[in-house]
Amino acid sequence: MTRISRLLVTLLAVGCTTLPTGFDQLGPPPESRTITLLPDSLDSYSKYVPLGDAAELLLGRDDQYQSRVLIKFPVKDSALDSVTTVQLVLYPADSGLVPFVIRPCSTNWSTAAVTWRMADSVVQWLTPGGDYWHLDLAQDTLTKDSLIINLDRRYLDTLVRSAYGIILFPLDTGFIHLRSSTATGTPPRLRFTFLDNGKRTYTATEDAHIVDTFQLNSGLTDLLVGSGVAFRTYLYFNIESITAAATVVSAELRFQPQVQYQRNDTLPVSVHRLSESYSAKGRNAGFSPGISASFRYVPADTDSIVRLDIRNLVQFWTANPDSNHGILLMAQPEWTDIFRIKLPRTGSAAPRLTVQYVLPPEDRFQR
Amino acid sequence: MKRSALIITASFALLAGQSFFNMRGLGELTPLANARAASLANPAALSLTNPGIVLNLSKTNLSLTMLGAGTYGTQEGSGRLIGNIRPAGFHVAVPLPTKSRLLAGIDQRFSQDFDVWSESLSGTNYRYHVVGKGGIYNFRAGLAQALFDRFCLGLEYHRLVGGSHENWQFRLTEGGSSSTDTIEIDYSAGTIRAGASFQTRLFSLAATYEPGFSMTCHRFKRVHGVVTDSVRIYQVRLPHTILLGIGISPIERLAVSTGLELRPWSRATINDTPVSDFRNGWRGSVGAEYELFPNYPVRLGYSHQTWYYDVRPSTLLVVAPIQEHGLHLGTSIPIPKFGSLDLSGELLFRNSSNLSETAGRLMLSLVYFETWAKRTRRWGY
Repeated sequence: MTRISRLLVTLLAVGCTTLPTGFDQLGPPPESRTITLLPDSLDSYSKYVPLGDAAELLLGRDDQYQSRVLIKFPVKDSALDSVTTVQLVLYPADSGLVPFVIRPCSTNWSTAAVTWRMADSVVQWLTPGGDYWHLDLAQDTLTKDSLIINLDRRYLDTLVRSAYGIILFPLDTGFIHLRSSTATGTPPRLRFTFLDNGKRTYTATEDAHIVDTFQLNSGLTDLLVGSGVAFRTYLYFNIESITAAATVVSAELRFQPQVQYQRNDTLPVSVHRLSESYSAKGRNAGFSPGISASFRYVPADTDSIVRLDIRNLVQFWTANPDSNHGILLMAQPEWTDIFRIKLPRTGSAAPRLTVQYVLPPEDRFQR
Repeated sequence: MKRSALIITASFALLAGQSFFNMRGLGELTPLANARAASLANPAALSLTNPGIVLNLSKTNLSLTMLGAGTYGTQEGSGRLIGNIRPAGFHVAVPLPTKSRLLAGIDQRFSQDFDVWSESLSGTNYRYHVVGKGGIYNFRAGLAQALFDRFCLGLEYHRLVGGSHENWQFRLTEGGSSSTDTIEIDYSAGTIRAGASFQTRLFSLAATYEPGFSMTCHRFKRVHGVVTDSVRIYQVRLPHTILLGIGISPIERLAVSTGLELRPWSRATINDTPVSDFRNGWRGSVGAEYELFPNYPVRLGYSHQTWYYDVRPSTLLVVAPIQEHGLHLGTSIPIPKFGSLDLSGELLFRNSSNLSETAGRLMLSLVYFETWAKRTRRWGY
């Protein structure tokens, strides 16, 4: 019995092998080719993008970026005379030392659309970076332990009746993250204390941070990818030489970027397929919201090369040649911690697409 | 037609992989799905392949055959085992008045099952895993007429339908598959087969003739699952087939049979163009049956054949025929008031230039006999 079992196991093991027995009866393998393409056209642009989806609010500034925080509370216009103190409660998410001033916001805004330039999807700020009443509700330095800020009671009426929340302006260099209204248990709060020592607390209903960069117009010809203020790079590769019947086995977009700015160790980069012609529509060209490929770039790695697998995308293009409008390289997501990388335009580190494809096999009557 | 071909393919091909030689031509010529004939090395003219063989038929005969096959292929030191279990065929023969017989059946004529892997190709990150499934099947119906208790003539119409799927999967070396190219071919054809036999207690002589016929093959290519290549139609002209058989029973419990098949495939054409890889194939067999005990026969056989197409390995510049030697044995176990269970085991050794395989086939036929008797109805039971 043992011998039979061994024989069966041996036969099964032999059957599980994937040795190339008999493959050459199929004739020569289908022809395989590898091509390396440089972009036929490329460009880069920047754009203020809404950052309201960020899990945390970024407050601070340095020599390249500035980030302000906007918070709305559902305060009621009643019994304001009996309010004795107004306190803002914030929960920092990391350590830092950021002096800031709080002012009431004078233009309505929405979390989903607010940017450095736009208050919502249709209204521009009168002053980029947020419109505000020139009243300092408080000035303080935010540290890990600084949670409760007393607001100036004199401006309560303006805050409640004439303002659309508050804006936090950084006054000096440094950055700190704050818990947002989506944080369980630690959202920003506004606390009123009344004459009778009664208290009422309002939890933030909307918040966002808006980012600007002082480097926006520097190096206009640079190919940049970045977050906070979104930098996007457009690349177009001409793949007409690949026949529609070819099977794309691999397609790797690779480049070795230079980091210009980073606040995190990992820089997420993604590829989006353009659905409209960039040459016709420029930065307004539509792109697919779905991510075609992504890569978490770690500059500290010895092999600091961005490799993006866009095989499915190239396969889609070969089958639908008219749909090849190129790609956008973007931060993913663009509200992630601020970073900016630069792609060389020329040289071995410049973007290049290597495609390996195979022509279809012959049928049994053609072998 | 395509749907019926797919249904047949799916129902017959439970597992892939019958021969490493099945990738060319129309695939392996499948022997008759009948364990009794298989154990005698399948002398085709003396089996149900010949519509004129049913001289003595007093009862309706039904048989259903299952086939299990395993093939171990070796090439340049590497070996692989592939296997297959499937229903193989169904036959029925019904006696009619005036010694006529009604014949019908389903079985496979060509097998296109295979399963191969490519080598790791230099400079690539994938291997091919190519799996072929399907084949060409016979739906046959015919009539036979016994004459003078010695002769039998038969004629059958064969409707050939089938389909094959050939999947070329790109297996990435880091795991998983990348994409699949699929080649589908649907087959359809119609032909007739005529047979005759002369049978005495000591001696039998049988012959079958099938004229050449044309088969229509529709090919579809679905490349990487996205692009569908245009349909291509092939007209394959198959050659005529001649089957001969002689049976001798020198003593009461011993019967010896020999068979010869002639298939002049060098005359075959694809779209009216001769095919250089096709060659004239033939098959010879000799078998013997001896009854150790009454109704418990033991059967042995030997066969040799040259396949109808050559092997052209891409790695070599030689063209070589496929030679096959077969050892066959089997028996029957009677089942009272039912029929019998026929068993056969076959060991086939095939080789060509750089590839050889050893195939084992186990066939099991459940045979049922029924008498269509006229009963007188009586009251009470």
